[in-house]
Amino acid sequence: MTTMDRNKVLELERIALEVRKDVVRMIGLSRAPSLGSSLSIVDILVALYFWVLSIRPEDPKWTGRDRFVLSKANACPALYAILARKGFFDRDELWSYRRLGAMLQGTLDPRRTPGVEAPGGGPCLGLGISNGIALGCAMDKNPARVFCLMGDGELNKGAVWESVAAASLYRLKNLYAIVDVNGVRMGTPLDAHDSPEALKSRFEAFGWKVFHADGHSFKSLAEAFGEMMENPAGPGVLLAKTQWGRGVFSAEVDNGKALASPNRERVENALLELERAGKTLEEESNDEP
Amino acid sequence: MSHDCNLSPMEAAVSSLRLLASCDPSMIVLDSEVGENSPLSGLRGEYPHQFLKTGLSESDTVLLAAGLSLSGRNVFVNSQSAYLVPRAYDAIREAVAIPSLPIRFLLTHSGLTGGADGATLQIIEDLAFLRALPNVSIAVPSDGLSANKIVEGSDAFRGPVFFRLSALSLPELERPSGAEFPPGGASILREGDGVTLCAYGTMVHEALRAAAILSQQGIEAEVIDCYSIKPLPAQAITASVRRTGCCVVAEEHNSSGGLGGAVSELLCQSSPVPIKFVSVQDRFGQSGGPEELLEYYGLSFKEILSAVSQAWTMRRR
Repeated sequence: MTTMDRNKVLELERIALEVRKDVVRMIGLSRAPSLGSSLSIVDILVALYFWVLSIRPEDPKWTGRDRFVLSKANACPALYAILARKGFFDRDELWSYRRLGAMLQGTLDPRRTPGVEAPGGGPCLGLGISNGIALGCAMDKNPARVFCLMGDGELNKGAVWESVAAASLYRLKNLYAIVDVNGVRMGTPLDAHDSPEALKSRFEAFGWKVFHADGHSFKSLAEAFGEMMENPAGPGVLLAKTQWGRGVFSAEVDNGKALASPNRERVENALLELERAGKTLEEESNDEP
Repeated sequence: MSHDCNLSPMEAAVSSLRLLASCDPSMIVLDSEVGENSPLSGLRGEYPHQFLKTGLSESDTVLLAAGLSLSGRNVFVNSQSAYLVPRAYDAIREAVAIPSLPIRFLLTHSGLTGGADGATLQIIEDLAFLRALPNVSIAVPSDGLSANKIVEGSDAFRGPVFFRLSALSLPELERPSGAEFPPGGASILREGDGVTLCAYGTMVHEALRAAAILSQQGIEAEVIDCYSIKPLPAQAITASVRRTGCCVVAEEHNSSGGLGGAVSELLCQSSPVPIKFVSVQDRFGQSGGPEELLEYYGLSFKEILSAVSQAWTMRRR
């Protein structure tokens, strides 16, 4: 699983582009404020759902499935777009995200949405819940793995570190955390205190094994996940360096202020930009044998 | 199954947990109390795979419970109320109450009589916190038998449930044989048409003492053990006050947000009658023995008697 060939990389890049377009459309329709945060995790989610996780969309409650918990719940548009693309539910559901009675709530609701494993709203709860799921699976001798994606901003919350300590205390070997290190918390840049180096030493002090990846390179993500899976010593965390608003220039450049209140024109421009990126991707893939 | 006499509700709940653990291997108890302080310390040796010490990390304990519940386990959490409820409220709300996970919480050291440790650990506002959460049930047993039945019947509750358990050795109450304690139920311990006395836990015993004295004065009190704080036994309370015309609520809780609040919310909308509260009058606890504290804070049959006389004179016949 460690190495990913060029065709697979291209396939995942195409999927990621389509997912980004869906995310921009969802945010455009719902006026949700989480575009930058959702776009930064798209590639990590694509790598997980189309390369790492063992799941059965037609049987979402299959006991042997790997569990994915999105702790950074404000970025749920990205997860919803992925789940729809995997076939957990109809893609049309995406367009009623955050509307009254919708299957796709603004916060994660496992009772309502197939493929969503754990509840989530305010960030910082996902890792603790993941610990419980991982412990339950381990007690049942279920080989399922549990993946939890957190944001670097939520690591400021004290409750997260109770859970970081607990995962190490219970020696959860089936638990894999991923931190989306986009360097932004609620639209505000984080300082050096929250740099990947600082995070690494903090996790290591709690007995975790730390891995690094470029969160927008499928090759890098595949290698890092491969390394993590081969490390059965205890909980592992992947610090994935990402860019806030990745893929949409206007979101990347000013931490999303231009898209904080997405109007029709901004959404159109973002979609055009993603269309152009798609054309470039196809040209490049034709150029190289 | 035998029910020992004069076990505290907490001790009775522990014996029920032992029974449940032996019947259901998927049951797991997370214990966030430390060392020998924990009433569960004895059980950990007997069922090492079903009792897990999580040690004072209340927020993480609740999240761990949520994860275990999501993976199909029958989960109980044991914790000091003063630690669990305020500190882990966020986790309780988001990870347990909103998704309505069937997790059972055993709350120890609630109210004034939980220990001599003083205000920080004597939580008198826990029910107000919990009662405000949708999807949640709350039950407070008033003796060993009801604690056994309520904890053993916890499958009957939908969603999360909080058991507020006293560690005082409370006398076994006289109840009709085969008494059951379903969610939303009430146990009528004494019938009467003079005044309705609603109480739970320790204060049920004081209410019965008051009722005996009232009877000598010619007022027959109806004593309702409102063990189910939420859902509230609305029908039993309403039916009673329609006969008595006045009500006194006695509880080991602050004057706002507890059973008094719940009963008032109910009756002002359906059968408005004068209601008096015997409760902690909006101040925090302090160190002291259980009986000293109850007396100092005015939680005894004497205050119930004076509350009854006030409510009784206010009623419209």
